[in-house]
Amino acid sequence: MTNPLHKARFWRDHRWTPGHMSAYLDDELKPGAVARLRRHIAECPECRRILHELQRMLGLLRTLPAPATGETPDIASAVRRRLRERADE
Amino acid sequence: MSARPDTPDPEEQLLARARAGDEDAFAGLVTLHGDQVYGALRRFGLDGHEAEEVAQEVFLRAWRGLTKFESRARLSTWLYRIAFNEAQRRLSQRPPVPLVELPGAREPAGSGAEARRLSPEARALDHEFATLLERALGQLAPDRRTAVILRDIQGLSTVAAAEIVGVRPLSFKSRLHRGRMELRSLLAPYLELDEP
Repeated sequence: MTNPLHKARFWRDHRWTPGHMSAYLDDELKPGAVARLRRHIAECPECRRILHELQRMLGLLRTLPAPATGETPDIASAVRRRLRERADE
Repeated sequence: MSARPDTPDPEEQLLARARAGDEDAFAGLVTLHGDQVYGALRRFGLDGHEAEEVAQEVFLRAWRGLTKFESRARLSTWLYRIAFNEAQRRLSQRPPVPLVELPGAREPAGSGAEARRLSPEARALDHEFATLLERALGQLAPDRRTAVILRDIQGLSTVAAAEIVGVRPLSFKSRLHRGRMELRSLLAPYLELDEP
């Protein structure tokens, strides 16, 4: 990266890119911003790593099992019982 | 065989019957949404007993408010909003929880190194990694944690999630972004990939 203009653009995009990764992953960036982010990701290993880690993390969050799987209480029976108790009062 | 276009959604059928006072139909709605509401309450920070108690309260309130519920809105969004408000109320009465460092977060070795050899997809099934994720979530600031829970775990849209927590979508997106970046930093040793 010897061209000073290219270098300046790289560092400008390097500061801008992380703040727009979340919107990029949610398909909420405008086409110009998408192109800018992709151009930077292609030439910056650090930002590429962060983006890949975010993608992996979101994939894992979507497969996260419910807390205390197998111990989920029977909410429906409890609610039904409480409704009956109130009706009897 | 595809459903006829005029066939009402099963949830809408249950909702219509519940609004007319049918408790069995309402119990059907509780069965449909109970686990999700309970799971969200646990992740908001309530323990199992509190979450169970609050989940029951959420549905009892929903039962009392069914006639006021606008059917244009999604039932799940409405339930999450009641759950979120009640969880906030309970959590605000607690002293702050000290931060706990994740095991191996600085120096992934042993089981951490083992975890790195597995693909992230394989790790999704790994109970230990799921526990680490839950603990990392617990270290986020409450507003950021809520954003990640509603959007990335419960799978709500940005608009619905923003409505639940009572902020504008733009403000919600900012919380979500910060929450995701912070969570990524906490989990970085477990998410690392080899450069292609």
